[in-house]
Amino acid sequence: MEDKADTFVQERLDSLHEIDCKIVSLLDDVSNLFQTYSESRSDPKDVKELFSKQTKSIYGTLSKVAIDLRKEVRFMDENIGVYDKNNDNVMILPISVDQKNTNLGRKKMDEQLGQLDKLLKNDNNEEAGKDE
Amino acid sequence: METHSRIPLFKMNKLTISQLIPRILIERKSFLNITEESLKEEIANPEQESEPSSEVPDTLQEIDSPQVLEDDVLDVFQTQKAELSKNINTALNETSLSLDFVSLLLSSVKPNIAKSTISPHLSKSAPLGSLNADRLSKGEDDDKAAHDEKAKLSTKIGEGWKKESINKITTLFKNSSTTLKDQVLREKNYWNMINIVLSNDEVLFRTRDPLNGSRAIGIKYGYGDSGSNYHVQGSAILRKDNTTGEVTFNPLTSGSNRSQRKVHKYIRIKILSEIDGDYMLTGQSTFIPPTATNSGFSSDSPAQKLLEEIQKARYFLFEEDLFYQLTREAKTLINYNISIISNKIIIEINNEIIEIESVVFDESNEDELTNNYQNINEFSSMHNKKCQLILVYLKLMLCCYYKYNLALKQKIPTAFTKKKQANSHPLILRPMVGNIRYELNIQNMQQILDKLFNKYKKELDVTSELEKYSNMKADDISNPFQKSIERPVSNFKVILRNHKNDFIYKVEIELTTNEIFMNLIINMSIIRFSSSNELEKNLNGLNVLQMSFNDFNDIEECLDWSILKFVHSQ
Repeated sequence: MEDKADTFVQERLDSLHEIDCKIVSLLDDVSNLFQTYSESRSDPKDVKELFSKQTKSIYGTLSKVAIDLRKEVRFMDENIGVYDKNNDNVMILPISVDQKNTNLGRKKMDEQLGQLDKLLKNDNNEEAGKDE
Repeated sequence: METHSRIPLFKMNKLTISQLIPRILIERKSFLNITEESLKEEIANPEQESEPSSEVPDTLQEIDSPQVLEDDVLDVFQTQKAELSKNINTALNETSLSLDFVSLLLSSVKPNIAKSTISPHLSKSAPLGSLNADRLSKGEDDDKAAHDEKAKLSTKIGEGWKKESINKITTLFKNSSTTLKDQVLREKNYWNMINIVLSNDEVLFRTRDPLNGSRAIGIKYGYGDSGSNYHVQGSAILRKDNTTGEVTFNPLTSGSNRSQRKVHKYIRIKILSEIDGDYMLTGQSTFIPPTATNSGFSSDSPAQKLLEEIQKARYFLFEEDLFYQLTREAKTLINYNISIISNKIIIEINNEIIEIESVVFDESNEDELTNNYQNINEFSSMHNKKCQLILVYLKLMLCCYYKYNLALKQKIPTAFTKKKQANSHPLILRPMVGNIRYELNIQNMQQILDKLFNKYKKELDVTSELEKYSNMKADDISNPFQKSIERPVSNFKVILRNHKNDFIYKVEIELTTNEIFMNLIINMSIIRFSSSNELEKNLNGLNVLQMSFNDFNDIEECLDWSILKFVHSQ
């Protein structure tokens, strides 16, 4: 996908999304399980086999979800208060801090200075042109 | 005897059953041995039997006087009353017992009702719901075949129900899984976009949506945190679109106009010059769109659109803030030919009118934004660049004010900084207008001097020099903005030598302004030396005049007068 900022945060978002998907797929699995249970098939043996297989897969996903969630929690714990545990130097602050956007004024000033530069440069060029 | 027998008979008839039965019981002792024969015999010769029966009352009668008879009636009444109440009690007891039983039966079906009606004794000895009852069906019990049929039927129905509910569960699970899948996708979209905004160096914060009070993520897009004290602090809510999960940008506005669609306005500078007694438009600034953020996304992706929207809101917020500060400044400057008319600040200065205008931004009207129509000839666009420069200057000054404010805020708060903060006000318009006026003042001064020198050309030898901005040499002031807000000082240094007697007048004129940049302050001092030698050594100087002026006419007159005196001095 192109709309992605490739950062540590994005990685976490993606893996959380995966976990979400797995949890939702649990519902699908359960639905299928009930379907096999209720459907009449020629061979009851087949049904039995399928039933146990599906049950297994449900438990499998459950354990995977649990593992993944624990992993995420670990990631979170590890990154609290430290910034060198990941590639993007993201630190989760141990306390909640109200962030202030103090750079905007500076940015705007730089932008205006840039415009001024351009204007003045044009001026010089024009004068140079005139001189020639 | 007759009287005796009559009374019991009368009494006999009057006896109630409850009295009669005990009486019979007393007479007969027991009914156990009564047979039909014995009863017949008794009827056949009543004399035998009636004798003892009549004897008893007789004896009673004999003992009792008529007084006793009345007592007897009362006695009977009392016993009857006692009997009655006893019976009532029994009946009551019986009914309450049976009601209790009903409660117990009920308790298996409706435990709450039963609990409130059952007696404590019964509820102690028999647990609730321990007894059950079924309605008895009439007549069908004997038809066994039908009964079996019915049982079969009901099990079939049960199976059907079971199957149906299993199917229901299956579809329920399926449906909820599909809806949840959608929701997961929405969440993913939402968080991805939030992350994009975050990685674009925006500041996010947790808040609550004022619309419905739900949790939301806010964004600080404005300059409130970087030193602006405009009433719009520039916070917005990044709201989630419930159908796609895309993030929408919703600026928070205070007050009543919450629902109103925001009208974007930008500032345009116009210069009108007086040409042939008429003011003509000679310059106009163009709209420079906010610089597009270089995020590397395709231009029509929702994320890019969102970023652009934030950028745009920020840009127009700044314009709004700037105009607000300008009008605030302009209000105090009405004495200096600066007026405010609706959404325009008009500055009249030196045959020129500078208009600062807040214009509604209309994206579709590109002609106006780039003022194509206006550049028809060289004349009407000769001041375009000046306008642009003025605009940039104004914006820069506001940025500086932000910076100053922020620095104040970041200091450890003391009474002093707090006072400074409360009294801080932006210097935007005043330095600009002030500097323009100051330049004009210098020119005027120079003109006056030139005029005077011309007048006394024959009598005097004149050398004059002008040092502009003597207090702000380039080496002294590293911050270019300081020049804008510092009071300018310029010095005219004039040496007048009288041809007649070689006396020398040293005239020093200092041109400056006060804090608000607008007023003219001229300090003049004249020192007389008797020779050029003394002038060089700065010896034996004689103070002739030391005065302050704030009007050119005054100084002109004064100078004229003192030079005249100097010329004619001996």
